[in-house]
Amino acid sequence: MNGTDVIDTLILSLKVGLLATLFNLPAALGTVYLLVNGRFRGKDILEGLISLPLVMPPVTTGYVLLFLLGKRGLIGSVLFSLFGWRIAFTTAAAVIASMTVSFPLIVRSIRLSMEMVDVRLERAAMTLGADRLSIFLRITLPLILPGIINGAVLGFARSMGEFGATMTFAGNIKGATRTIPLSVYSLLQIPGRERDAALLVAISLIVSFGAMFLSSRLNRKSHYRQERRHVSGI
Amino acid sequence: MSLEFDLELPRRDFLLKIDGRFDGGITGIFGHSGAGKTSFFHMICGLEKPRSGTISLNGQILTDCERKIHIPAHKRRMGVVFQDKRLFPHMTVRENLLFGTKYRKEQRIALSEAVDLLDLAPLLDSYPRGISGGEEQRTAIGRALLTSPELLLLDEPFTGVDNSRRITMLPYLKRLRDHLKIPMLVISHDLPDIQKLTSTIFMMEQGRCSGYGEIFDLFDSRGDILSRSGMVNTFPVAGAEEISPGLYDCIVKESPRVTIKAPFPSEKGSTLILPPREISLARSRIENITIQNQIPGRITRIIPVENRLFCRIEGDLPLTAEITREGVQELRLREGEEVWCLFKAHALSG
Repeated sequence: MNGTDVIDTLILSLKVGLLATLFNLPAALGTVYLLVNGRFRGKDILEGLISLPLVMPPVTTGYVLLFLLGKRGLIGSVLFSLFGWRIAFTTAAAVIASMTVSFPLIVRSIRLSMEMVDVRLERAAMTLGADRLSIFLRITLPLILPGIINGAVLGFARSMGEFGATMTFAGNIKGATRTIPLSVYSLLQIPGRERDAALLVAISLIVSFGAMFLSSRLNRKSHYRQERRHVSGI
Repeated sequence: MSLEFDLELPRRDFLLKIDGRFDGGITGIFGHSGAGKTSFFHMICGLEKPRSGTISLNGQILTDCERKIHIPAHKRRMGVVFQDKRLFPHMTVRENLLFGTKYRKEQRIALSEAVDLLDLAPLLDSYPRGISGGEEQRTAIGRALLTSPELLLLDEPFTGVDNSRRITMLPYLKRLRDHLKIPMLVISHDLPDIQKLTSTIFMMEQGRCSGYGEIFDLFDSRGDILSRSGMVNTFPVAGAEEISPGLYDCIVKESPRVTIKAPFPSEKGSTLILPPREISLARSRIENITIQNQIPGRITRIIPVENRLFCRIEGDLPLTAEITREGVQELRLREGEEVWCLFKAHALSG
């Protein structure tokens, strides 16, 4: 394994992690808004479904994704016959696998902070003339920002470490789906490559630590840390 | 401004059922905690829906349950100052003040005007967690004012952590009253606090209105509750003049023939406060006494409250005096009799 291989693996991992986080954030925000403010049938079922990947073995999550989005899967077959799209065993699959397993973490983090937003502040904003959207953008969103940052960091870190679901749904394809954890696994299969594996492990450690460090820095900067200190503690 | 309402809302232990009409000025909504004052407020500003009834402001219907009309809170022109202030923690005082301005087309009050009236200039760039309770309260009032409301609702503006804050809030509310002439509804469980601001009282008990009008007109029917709640005599001052060092002759607004001697200067528009128990009654004017104020009148009503008696005295200056039963018996005071009301200059407060 030479230097470019290491860099390519790192770039692929970062790409998968960042894309997964980027797509997950708005979806998680919308889901949390629904869960906190909405009153609808099947809310419990939705909550259960979202949390499922937290407790399911990642390999089975990957299997379910394959079952749904594989070439012969429920949705995948339709996408393939209509548009000729192949999802499984591509970088997109790696992103989707990462999204699925990190989504509940992001939702939990944002939800905790949204539940702590004082509804009395939102009511006060209402009497000052703000409608629902304004209240969300000017009051709720800034107040849950620490939760969003935390969720993003946790989700990103989880994506960077994703192994089981990626392996099953996206495969272990060099340059397309072989992220750092898959690469470490592959290298350990080959005698004498432990040092290469150790290098990747070190890189992975640095990236994870950097993300956590950044998140606590951003949290400290927020003006209302005192009120939501326990959120940043998750 | 005219606010009309006729409302019904079931509460945990009683039915809130009130109707009435407010026309400008300041009305004090007085009642003990749990009387339904805050629910009433919430219905008026649109945060709570009544079970049945109507609310209209200046002829515009805000709520009409039968016709299923409920104008949402953000479209009502009410400035609300909550008891718990509710400043936005992630915004500076300036940002808090300006929060609602973008939702109103016309600005009746400029930021600089509100800042001056409420002495907020040194706080503008501070965050709410860095300022005191009284400063938070003033910011909350300024924030509501800057939305150019038709009516300002203040929930317990005097209640605070300490007594010194009570004293600091009052001058600001008086400034709003005198400079902006903005109609206000002020909720308080403390009758003397309300009286320092207004003599128009809307009394609430167990979700009902138990009296509405000028406080001294209510005395006949609700004298027991008013006396028990610490009602004071208030005299709006029209002007004052120093007659000797440290003693001032104050002209009372509604009774220009009467002057009250007070040990401190009062500006026009301020109010002198005199608790009923500071007044003594005499059959005739007393010479050779250090008491500075002696005012004649006629007892119109005697109301027993527990072991005390409250005498309502009408004359050039209407007064309420608290007298012991023994005192009344000794002087054989009855309703309709002429008396002199005596009180020391030092019994007055500003």
